[in-house]
Amino acid sequence: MLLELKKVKKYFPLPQELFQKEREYVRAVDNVDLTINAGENLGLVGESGSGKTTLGRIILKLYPATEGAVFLEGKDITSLSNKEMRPLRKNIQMVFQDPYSSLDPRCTIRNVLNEAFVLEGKVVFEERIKRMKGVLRAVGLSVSSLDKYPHEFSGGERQRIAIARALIMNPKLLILDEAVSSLDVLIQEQVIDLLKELQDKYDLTYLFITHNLRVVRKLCQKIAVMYKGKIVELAGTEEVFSNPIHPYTKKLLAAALDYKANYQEDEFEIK
Amino acid sequence: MSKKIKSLSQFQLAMQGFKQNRLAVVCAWILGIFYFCAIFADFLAPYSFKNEERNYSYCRPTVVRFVDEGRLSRPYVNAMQLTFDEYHKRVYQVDAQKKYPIRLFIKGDEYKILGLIPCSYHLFGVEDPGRIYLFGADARGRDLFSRLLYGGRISLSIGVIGVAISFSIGLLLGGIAGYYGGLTDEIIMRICEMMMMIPGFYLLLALRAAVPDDFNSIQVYFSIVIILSFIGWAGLARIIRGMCLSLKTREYVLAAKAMGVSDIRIIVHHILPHTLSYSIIAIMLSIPGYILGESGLSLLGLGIVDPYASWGNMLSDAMSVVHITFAPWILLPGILIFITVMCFNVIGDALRDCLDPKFKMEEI
Ligand SMILES: Nc1ncnc2c1ncn2[C@@H]1O[C@H](COP(=O)(O)OP(=O)(O)O)[C@@H](O)[C@H]1O
Ligand SMILES: [Mg+2]
Repeated sequence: MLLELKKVKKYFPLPQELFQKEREYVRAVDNVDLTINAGENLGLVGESGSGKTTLGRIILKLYPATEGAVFLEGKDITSLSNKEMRPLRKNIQMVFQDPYSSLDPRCTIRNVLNEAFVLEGKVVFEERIKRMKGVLRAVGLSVSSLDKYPHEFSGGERQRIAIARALIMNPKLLILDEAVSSLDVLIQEQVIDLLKELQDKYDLTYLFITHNLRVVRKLCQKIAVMYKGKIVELAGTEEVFSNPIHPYTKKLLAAALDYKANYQEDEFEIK
Repeated sequence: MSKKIKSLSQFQLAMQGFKQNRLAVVCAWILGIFYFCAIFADFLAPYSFKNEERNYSYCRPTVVRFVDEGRLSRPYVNAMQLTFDEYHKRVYQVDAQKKYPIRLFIKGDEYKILGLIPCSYHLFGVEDPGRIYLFGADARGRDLFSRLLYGGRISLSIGVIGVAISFSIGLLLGGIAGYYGGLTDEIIMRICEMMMMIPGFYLLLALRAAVPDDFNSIQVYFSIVIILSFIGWAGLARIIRGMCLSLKTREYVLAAKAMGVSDIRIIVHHILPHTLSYSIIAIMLSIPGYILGESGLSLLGLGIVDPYASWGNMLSDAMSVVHITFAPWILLPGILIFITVMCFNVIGDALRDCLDPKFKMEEI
């Protein structure tokens, strides 16, 4: 078992109004139990605002959970201090939602990738360069990208850089938060193919977060459907597609299939 | 678009825009010249700031002559003779008989190059007993031109050093407050507000009163710098904090955190650099405050004291109208302060135009 969540909750306090007795909360993540096995990709699906990003960030310990526990390879990481967490950080990496804000506009790609070695401490220069070039090739970018700034790349290329940044840490679990949602359809396909390829090469497990059921089918063995902070359905991919139980899943599925139908029609017309 | 050999960061791109603003470039040159003159004041000035000649009190600017008895000659100055007219007013008369040629690299008052190497050569000057007063003399017959150069050292450096100190404090404290939030933030912000509640000049006077009277001029200089930066950091810290609050939620900050990068490295590498364009503008616009602060203190006799020169204490000579009408050139330090302050403001505004991201967005 790579990752296990037990009764994880995250409540964000709403701003308190004057004379209001009790504080109100947004229940962004509400009592979530989830396990991810090594090599078994999980798709986390739900409409926007359902708490997917928050859940991903709790796993990364970017936010502390209000309640519940997160186990990484059987070790409880919930109560670890920042310092104790640091050596474990490389195991879980994330590709963020927005390729335009996930790369520091003031850093060249070299600076971005170099950050990986801060944690590892002394890594000789040649070794660094070798690894940087290695991940860049792996995500299909040219080595000359190293000294460019993010604004010189397209959205799809930036997302590849973000993947490279995660890969250079050699993570076991890679969380992809709407990693392809902002890309257009053809680029989406390319990135998903890339992810499949990388999975074997780097021995990765994905937690693929998306609001679009269609894209998870190719990549994930299991699907968890999230609705208002809760997991409402958890099953194998084909099972969800052929026999959805929760009405919300059905709605999502209808939306995805509808979209797919349209897409194929368009394709036909072009031919 | 032409193929670029070297990738430019967005900051570099913005700086190219700055060069297109003619006025700002001119101002940058003026400031460059001022700072250059201040650094090499001892060499460029014909006299030291202390060199006085009581017989030449408020002597008017010396005329440099190139024509001698109808023929072109090397530049020279005439001797000046102090006389009194029928109302017992001082009148300086040119003594056409006595001529003193202007010499380059002339030996004069001793000084140390950059405070280290002793030297006594000056760029230009005249042999004793002649005196050259390019911009006239002050009450004690000291050369105003020389004193302006020496005064520039203090007035111009106070801004830069003061800003360097207050911005380091402001950036770091603002960065920490914004990034960590919570109690740290509360404490730092309350301190800032306390600093900002007291009107600047009163705080300046109060802090100055706390400085011992028996300080020598260097100690006074540094205490003024420290007082000025002590006042200046709070405003910046507050604004930087506000920017950090939003910057810390950017995804690249989260990504760095997920990679195990330490907090202080994140603040220094990924948060503060994004406040840079604001900071540069703020630096340019706040240096005048320091220059004026020093001038204000010195004008009141609380800053740099005679015989040391600063533009502020030189201007205190010009507080009497009688002296101004008799020797209008003693207003020159005020004019230099004005030009310097203007230049910093123009440059600050120009930088704002080319660095402000909102402005850029509209262009694209
Ligand atoms: N830092 C935060 N502070 C307060 N509320 C938040 C914060 N982050 C997310 N939320 C709230 O939590 C809910 C879930 O958000 P999110 O996890 O971003 O959803 P999703 O990624 O599925 O679109 C939303 O209602 C959002 O407003
Ligand atoms: Mg999200």
